[in-house]
Amino acid sequence: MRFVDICLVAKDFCERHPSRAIDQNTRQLIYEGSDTLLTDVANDISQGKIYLDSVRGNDKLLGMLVRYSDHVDINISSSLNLCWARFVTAKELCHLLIDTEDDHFTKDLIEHISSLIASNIQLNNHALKSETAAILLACELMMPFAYNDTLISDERSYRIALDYSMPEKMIDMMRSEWYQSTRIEAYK
Amino acid sequence: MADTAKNRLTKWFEKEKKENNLLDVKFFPGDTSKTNVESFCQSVLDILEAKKRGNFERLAESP
Repeated sequence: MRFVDICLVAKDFCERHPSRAIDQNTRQLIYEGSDTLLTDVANDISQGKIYLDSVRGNDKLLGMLVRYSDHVDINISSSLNLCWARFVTAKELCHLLIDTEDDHFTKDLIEHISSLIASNIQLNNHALKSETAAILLACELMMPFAYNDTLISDERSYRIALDYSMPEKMIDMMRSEWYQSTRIEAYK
Repeated sequence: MADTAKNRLTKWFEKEKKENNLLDVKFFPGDTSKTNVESFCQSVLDILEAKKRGNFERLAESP
């Protein structure tokens, strides 16, 4: 999935769920009632309940999606701060939006893990493409294009990250030249 | 089959697919610079075990 296609998925999602584009809800906790991402995704995929659980883990594994035919478990590490907890949750939810066909699903778990932790990332590996796409889509849904003026303002990344409860690392990526140029083109 | 985290996780994956209609598993890795497949698999198993024992906090669920 190309970045421009991801932007289009985000655009469509935001149009169908207008709170993501115009309200301040995106600034609130994903797992609080006032935020709708989890509910919106659940409605979109019609795949039963989505459960979001916090589990004590370690710094090797921040989050995990376990998708059954009738429900979905999203497990996030209890050690994450608010910004990362929101982002990891959003990224796992995004898999539900983009991994829609059988061949998008992990077939060989160990091979998938090996790819994730290998230093030589193979771009033709579907699993890794899916992970990257989910991260980009999470950025697009947590900081919708309607907020792009804030991103390109003179405000410090740290301040924006704090205001929008997003990881500063992701804000930095979204402010980068390559990200902005693709994003602006996609939303034209 | 040796009793490794890798083998135990593979066994869990195949069993869940067969018995509970597991479709997909995805991860958000953290710092993997000092890890390997075996220790990552153990981290996954630790989370699955914690869930099984009820050692987790439910943050939300969809309606």
